[in-house]
Amino acid sequence: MKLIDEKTTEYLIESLDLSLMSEENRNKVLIEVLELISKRAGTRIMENFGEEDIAEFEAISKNDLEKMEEFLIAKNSDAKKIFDEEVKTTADELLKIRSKIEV
Amino acid sequence: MSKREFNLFEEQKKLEKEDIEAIYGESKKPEDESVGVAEDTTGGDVPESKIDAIDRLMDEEDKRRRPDGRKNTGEKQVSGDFRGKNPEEIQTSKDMDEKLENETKEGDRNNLKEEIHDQLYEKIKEEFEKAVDKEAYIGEMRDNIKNFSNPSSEDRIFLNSLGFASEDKENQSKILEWYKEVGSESLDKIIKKEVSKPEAVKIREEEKTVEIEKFAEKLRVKNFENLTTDELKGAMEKIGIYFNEVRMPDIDINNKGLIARVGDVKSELARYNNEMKWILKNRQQKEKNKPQEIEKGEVEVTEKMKTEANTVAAVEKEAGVENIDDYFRDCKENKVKLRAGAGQEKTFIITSISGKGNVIRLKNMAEGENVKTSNVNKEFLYRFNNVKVSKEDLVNLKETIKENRSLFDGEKLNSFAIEGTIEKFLEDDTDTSGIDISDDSALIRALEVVKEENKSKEETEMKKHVPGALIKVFEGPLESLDSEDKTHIENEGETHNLEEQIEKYKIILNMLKDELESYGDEDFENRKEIEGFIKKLEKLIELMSELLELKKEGDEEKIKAKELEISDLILELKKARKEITEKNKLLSKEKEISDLGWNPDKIVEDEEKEISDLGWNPDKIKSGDSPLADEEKTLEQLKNKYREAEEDGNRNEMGYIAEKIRALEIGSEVDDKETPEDDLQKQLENLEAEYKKAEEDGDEEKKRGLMEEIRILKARIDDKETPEDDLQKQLEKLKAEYEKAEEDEDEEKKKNLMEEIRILKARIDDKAKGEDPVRSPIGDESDRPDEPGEGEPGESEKIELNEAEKEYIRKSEEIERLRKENKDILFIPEEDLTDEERKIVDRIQELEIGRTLDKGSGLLTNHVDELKRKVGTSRKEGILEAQKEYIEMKKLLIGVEMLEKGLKMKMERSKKERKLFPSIEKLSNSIENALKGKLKNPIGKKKKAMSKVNENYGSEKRKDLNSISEQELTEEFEKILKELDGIYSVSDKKTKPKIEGVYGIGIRALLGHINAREDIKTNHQDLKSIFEKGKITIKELPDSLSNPREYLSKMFDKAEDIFKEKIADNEETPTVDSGGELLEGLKDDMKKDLGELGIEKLNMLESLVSAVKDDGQVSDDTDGKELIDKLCRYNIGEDAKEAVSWIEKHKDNNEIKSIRLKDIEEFVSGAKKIKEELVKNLKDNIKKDLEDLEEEQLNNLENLISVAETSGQINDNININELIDKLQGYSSSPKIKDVTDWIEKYKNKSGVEGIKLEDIKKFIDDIK
Repeated sequence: MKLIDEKTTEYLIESLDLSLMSEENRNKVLIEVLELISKRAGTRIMENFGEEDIAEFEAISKNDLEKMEEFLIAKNSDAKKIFDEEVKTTADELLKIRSKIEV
Repeated sequence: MSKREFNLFEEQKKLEKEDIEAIYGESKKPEDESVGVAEDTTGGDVPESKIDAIDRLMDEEDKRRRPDGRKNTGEKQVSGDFRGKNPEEIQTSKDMDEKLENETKEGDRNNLKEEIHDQLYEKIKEEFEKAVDKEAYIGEMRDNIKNFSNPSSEDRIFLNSLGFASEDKENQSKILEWYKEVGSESLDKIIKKEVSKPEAVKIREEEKTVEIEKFAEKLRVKNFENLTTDELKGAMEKIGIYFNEVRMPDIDINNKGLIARVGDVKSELARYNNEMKWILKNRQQKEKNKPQEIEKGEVEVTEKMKTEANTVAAVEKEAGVENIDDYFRDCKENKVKLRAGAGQEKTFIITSISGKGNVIRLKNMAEGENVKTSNVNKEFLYRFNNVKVSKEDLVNLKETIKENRSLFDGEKLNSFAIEGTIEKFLEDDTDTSGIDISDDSALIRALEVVKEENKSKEETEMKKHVPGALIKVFEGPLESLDSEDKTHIENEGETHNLEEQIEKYKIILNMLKDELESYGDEDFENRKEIEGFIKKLEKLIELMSELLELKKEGDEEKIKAKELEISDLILELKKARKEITEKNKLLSKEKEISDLGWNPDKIVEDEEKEISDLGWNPDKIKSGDSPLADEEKTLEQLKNKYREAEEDGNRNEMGYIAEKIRALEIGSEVDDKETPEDDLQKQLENLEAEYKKAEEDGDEEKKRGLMEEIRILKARIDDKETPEDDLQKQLEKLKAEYEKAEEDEDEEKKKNLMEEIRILKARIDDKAKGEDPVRSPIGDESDRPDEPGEGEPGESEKIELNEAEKEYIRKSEEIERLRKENKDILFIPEEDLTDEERKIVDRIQELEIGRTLDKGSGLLTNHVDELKRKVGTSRKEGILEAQKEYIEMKKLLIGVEMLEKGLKMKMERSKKERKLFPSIEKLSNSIENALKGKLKNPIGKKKKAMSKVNENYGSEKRKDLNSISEQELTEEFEKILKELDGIYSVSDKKTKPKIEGVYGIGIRALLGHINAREDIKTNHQDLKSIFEKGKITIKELPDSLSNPREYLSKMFDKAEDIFKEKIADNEETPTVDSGGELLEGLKDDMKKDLGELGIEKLNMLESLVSAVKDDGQVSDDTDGKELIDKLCRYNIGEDAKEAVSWIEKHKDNNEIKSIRLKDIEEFVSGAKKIKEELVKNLKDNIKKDLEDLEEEQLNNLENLISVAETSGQINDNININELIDKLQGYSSSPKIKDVTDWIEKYKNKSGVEGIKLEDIKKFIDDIK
């Protein structure tokens, strides 16, 4: 995966204290969080996409993530940077929300 | 884009790669196939004779075409001939004639035809794939094929593309004849496979729907009661299969009719399924109750009841079954008084009533004994509820239940079952069997609904007509008037009879007066007549009293005159009574009719109510000025505005108005959850119709806008949650899994499943309530899946809401209100919002997010409460601790949900971002799938790596430690350490510390001592501690690493041997007196650990201790334990944390309290000194090495550093370790390698981190 690398997951594990969790739960959270990050980052990366770009993106097979990532990076050279930024922002926001939940 | 293109585009999006392959795979096959096997269009192999014929033809052609006589190379020449692009290569018309003449045999002719068929098929398919408008292409092709025998110029172009351009007309005609024949077939094949994929889907769906409809039709005429249990089960199973098989057709296809049919047949099947389920349940119940079942006419009472109170049996004997309900006259409020043998009365509580009301269980209030009776008149059930029941009432009851099906959601019996019960009441009076709904409140509730309705209806009707008591008086006691006549009075003759008569009439008079009085001044039908009647009755009493007096006096004449007067009056009274009674009957009849809903006034009232319930003013509707008309007016105005904006070319305005028009036309809601899926489907249908219209009108702008809307709406429909039925299925599945986990005693799995069940139940609840948060926004105790069996929420169950849940409700209400009040705003794109509008939208968003937070908090609070309760009762310490992980996980997932909600709302509001919806979803789904695979792999990889390492250290493969040298042992340690480290490098923080513990504390320390034994003084205690720790931690290695575990243990033994030897050699090893041995051991441990810290960390630690001291938190005499606590609590950064960790690990050592702050300061300072010394020595050594370098080498090194610096790879502050890493990247050249080799030996040397690049640069300068 080009947008998500080992550092991304390590960062999330560290910052969200996921290391305390069992592997199963940790992966569950990681997937949810990264899915959210991909949506947030995706919105920014595709911000200036025109109809044609969207159509081109839609034409990529849904199973071909690599191609999707390549496309995004080709269309927006800051794609990885945006993704990494979203990783940090999302982690920060999640921590804030976590601190608000009283039980 | 045309609608068809749009559909295809949408369809294409939906297609999985496999689908595409499935479609195109077959058609690609011929190209892939090698020569020798002619393609069979039907998918089978071509018979041998055909292949031979083709081969023969090919050979002949080959010979003709190749004057050198060489044979064909194996390419599929038949096709190649026809497709040949070079006209030179195409055989002459003569050749072709010959070839055709050769095709005299039918078989050969067929072969060629088949080839042509294939060729044409490929060609048409290729053209078809390229065609933008597939439909138009098919039309054209059909025409082309029709005219093939007389090719037009366009056909010639087509022929040219097929490679027949150079053929003469005659040959072309012949070939075209064939094309005509097979072309149509090919086209059909393509249409079937390609074009009509959606059509084919539709056909399949239609076929399936027809099949299911037929099945439903069969069921429709069946009396399920007559089916055997097996038949019922079979039918239910089939319903289940059909239910799953028939899916809602895709909305792309123009198949609204089919959608409706599928919907209908599905709900019909669901209804049958419920009915069958009910019948089966009924039968099961009947089976269960069989031994206790009472024959008609029998009464079962306990022995005790028989002797103590002659109750029900007596009742039955005396009154018989038909009249038994007479004995229940006093039945009120669930209680019934029964007359015992000698006029005694006993009160019973009704504990249950069978579904038909003919089996009743009672409990003696005084004795607590149960008694059961059967064959009670069915009306008893309703009498019990104070409802006067007629057959019509039953019909009404059924209808009421039907109309209020939602009332029975969550009840044990659903409304269908209750309706079925009533149906049976109506059909079957004698059957004593019946479903036991005694513990079900559904029917009772249904009855209460009817009771209330009937009560108020009765009250109204009674007031309108005649008070019931008055009717009773006229129909009852006053009947005696009929037998009252002059003769009767004469015959009586005796005064006491007359007195009795007067008394009787007085009582009746009083009854009438009382009843009348109770109605005050209220008017009702017959009131005047009754008042007149009362007056007449008073007169009668008066006359009769006078008669009595006259009789006493014995004045016969007067008596006769009086009797005549009385006789006339009685006649009048009779007449009046008759009139009143008849009128009452008439009124009663009217009442009955009106009860059945025939009262025209009532119908109007109901309609008005219905209209006003919808929020419209019925008066307006009546006057023809309907609210719809208002909307239409607005709509018309908006459409005019849209046209104006269109003329002005104001797209923003157009978009905005289009949104408003749409909102008005379809009354859509923004929130998915508040918009039922059906509505969305309707919206979609409307939009599609609009799109079609726009297409017809050629309005491209509108089409684009609508297409966007359709896309969004589709995404929303796709987003819709799983249907409730599916959720129920999931729930059942989870329950089954839970039970299995319980059997397996898998606590972890149980815990997870419990949570899943709880969440799913909450979802089902939410769905059932339309996310109505009032009852329970989050789930309640009854939802707790501790007992995953069927929950039976009691009617009186009180749900205690926690604060978060209350807050959730408050926010939900506010959201609801804001949404209703600001419906229009919600459709305005983000960019067009005014500040004021934005505030509202932001507020809704804030509330939405806050609500999620509350929901999460509420859920977690409940969960924690539950855990606390468990811990409290079971005293299992640590449960809460174990659940921390769960709580943390949930908190994060709640956060994700919140942020996702926020993002979604933001995107929905921005027109621009809305367009990205499908793409974003696509990206995130792909990432999710990829992650699922990737994150699972490390586990697999880890296991694989473990087993590999285990294998590597199998008995045969490991080194013989007996003869191993000290150096080899060290290397062996390092090797195995590296392998094990690799296994746990997957950020596994749970296992990693263990490994770190084993190897960091144990092996690494040991290796350090082996390596540094010349530099650092070791003592016996130090080594002992290392070996102990090492051996203990080795034991903790998992069984999957049993080989390395055993091997490492032996390595430790070996190392211990080596050290013992060394220790014995080293007389300088200090010994510690036994009293302070442990303390000294700790001190040494601490010193050693400090020795492993770099100079930077030591400085950091020193400043930290000094800061804590300056804060006044600690003093010189503060003991080590307190210091550790203070340091750990001090708000320190990541680097400082690392520096503190050296001391933290000692905090549980008993001796730590004996160590003072000043000792620690001393250790730190000592370690610093050693480090500084080490650094100094290292620097000297490095300088010396540099001095030994040739000038050229030194220059090369300098240049290398300079290049690395320029490229930003290094800077003055990097230490030797980092420098080595960076420079290695440049050391491909042998020359450079020369100058970097010297430095590599310093890598990871203790103290090396204290030497910076600037030092090296300074050395080089100095040397130069």
